[in-house]
Amino acid sequence: MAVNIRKKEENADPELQWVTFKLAGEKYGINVMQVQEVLRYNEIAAVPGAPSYVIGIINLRGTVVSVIDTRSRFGLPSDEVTDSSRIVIIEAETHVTGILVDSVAEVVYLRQSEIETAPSVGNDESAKFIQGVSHKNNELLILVDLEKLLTEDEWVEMSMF
Amino acid sequence: MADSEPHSKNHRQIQVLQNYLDDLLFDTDSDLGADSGVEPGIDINVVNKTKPAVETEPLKKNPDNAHAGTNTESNTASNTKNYANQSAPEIPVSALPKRKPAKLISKAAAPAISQRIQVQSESLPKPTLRVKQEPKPEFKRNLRSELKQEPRPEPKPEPRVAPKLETKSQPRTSPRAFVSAEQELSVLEEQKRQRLQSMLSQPLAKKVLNSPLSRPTVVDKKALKQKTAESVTVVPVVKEAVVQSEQKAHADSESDPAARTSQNTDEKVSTFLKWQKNGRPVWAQREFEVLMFEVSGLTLAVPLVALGQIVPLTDKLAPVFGQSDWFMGLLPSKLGDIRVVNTALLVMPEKYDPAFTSEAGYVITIDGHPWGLAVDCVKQALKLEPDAVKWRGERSKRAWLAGTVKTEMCVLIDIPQMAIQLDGADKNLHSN
Repeated sequence: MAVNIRKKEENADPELQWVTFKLAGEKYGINVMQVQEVLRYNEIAAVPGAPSYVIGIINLRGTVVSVIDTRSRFGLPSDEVTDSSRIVIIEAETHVTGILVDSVAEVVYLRQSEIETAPSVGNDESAKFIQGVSHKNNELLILVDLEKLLTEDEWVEMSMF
Repeated sequence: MADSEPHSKNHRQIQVLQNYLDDLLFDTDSDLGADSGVEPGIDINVVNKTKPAVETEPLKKNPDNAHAGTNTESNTASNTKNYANQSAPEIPVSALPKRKPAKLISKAAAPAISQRIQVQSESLPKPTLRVKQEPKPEFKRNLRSELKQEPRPEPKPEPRVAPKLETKSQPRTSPRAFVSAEQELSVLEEQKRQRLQSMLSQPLAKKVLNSPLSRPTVVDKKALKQKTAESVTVVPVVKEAVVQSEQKAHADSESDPAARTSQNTDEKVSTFLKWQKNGRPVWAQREFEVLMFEVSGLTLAVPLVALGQIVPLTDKLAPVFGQSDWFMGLLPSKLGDIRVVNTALLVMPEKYDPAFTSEAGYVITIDGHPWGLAVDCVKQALKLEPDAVKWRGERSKRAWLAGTVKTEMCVLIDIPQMAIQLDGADKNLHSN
């Protein structure tokens, strides 16, 4: 009986796992189901004519993966790569790509009810990347919707590298 | 001659003692707090309740009284005479403290005094009763020690319920003045609290009752400036509002939004937003209160009824990328995240000083909305008559600007309107 009630509660308020990373001192989260792996920073080969938000490409076990400059995409000032910098390989819109982050923190569990709607004021397109915000361990966690990280055309363009 | 001299001496002693006791019991004009050994601020009721209760005990043992009382007609006075008759031979005159002559109490004055005592006993804090409860065995056994005013164990300092009621500038020489002033203040305070709570919407009213503001807390600039203070929910109930006009507010309960406490937030905002034909919003149809604050050197005023909480901006704001410049970030609070607005940039972008972001000390939230206005400092609250404001006629541009407070020469913000505009700027809010 108690198990059934718990299952009903879980269905009504599902718990999701989020991989958290840091950018410019703020903590962000992405759905763990979209994360394939996390790599240490390797040499990224620049691609001539690539969009500004693309740093370059890496060779991931024989597969070429484009790496997105997340700071640039989020409208944050650029910074130097450090030892804690990581490339997070994600899968979004059926495309596998990498995002460069300052550091990867942990995996957190959040219930849907713990996620609040984020403000979206202004005309900056980057605001739509934010899926919601949540508080975990007295820290604000900004949840990123990776599907909206790039537009349809941009995803297609990325696949051409 | 030899007989008459001791008799005369005794009689003099009795007279002095009689005066002393009369004075002790009925001299309400003297500084009772000091004379009775009671902590200043303890009311006369304590003295009249405690001392006679102890002192009249021996009287029943000596009903005969050769030296009838001189002035008083009450039973208490009669008891006092008996008391004097019994104890006079034991007390040297030199040992008695010099006091001013006893004040006589007539039958006509007795009810008034009784009423005054009653009023004080109701208006002043009850903890004073602890004085009465303290045992005084020495007093019963040895009257001399009591009359010499030997130091008694002082009652423990009681928590003062309303310490503000006693001001240093008011000497406590007149109990009548003290009582009336205290009554006025308490009545004023109660009226103010009730009115504010009734004017506030349901959710905020709960906050007022449950939060520390249910105590007589105050939006005190000094207190608020203590940045180390925890981010307590503070509803701005102001202790001493500056009254601009002494005119009574006309009791138009029908148009008063305060009467409608059951409405939800949206209804409340729309009600507040409505501007009447007389060119004033609903909340300004009668005397209303505003809270003054400063933003980059500019003094602004907002109606108290639309305020949520005041939160010290001690913690770092969490910036959210992709937002407008006037959005400073999210500030976590017990009631949820506050979306902090750069008030200086929003209100006067032409004179914006970027230093404001680092100088802002507080966030004033809008009741029923997630928005908070970053401000430099919070000033006092003000009661305003509608006529004290020059209301804007045309409000198509900068609709949040309600008018100008004439006396203060500051801008009055129509904060419900501003909240609506901020909500309108949030795309996520629209999509939801």
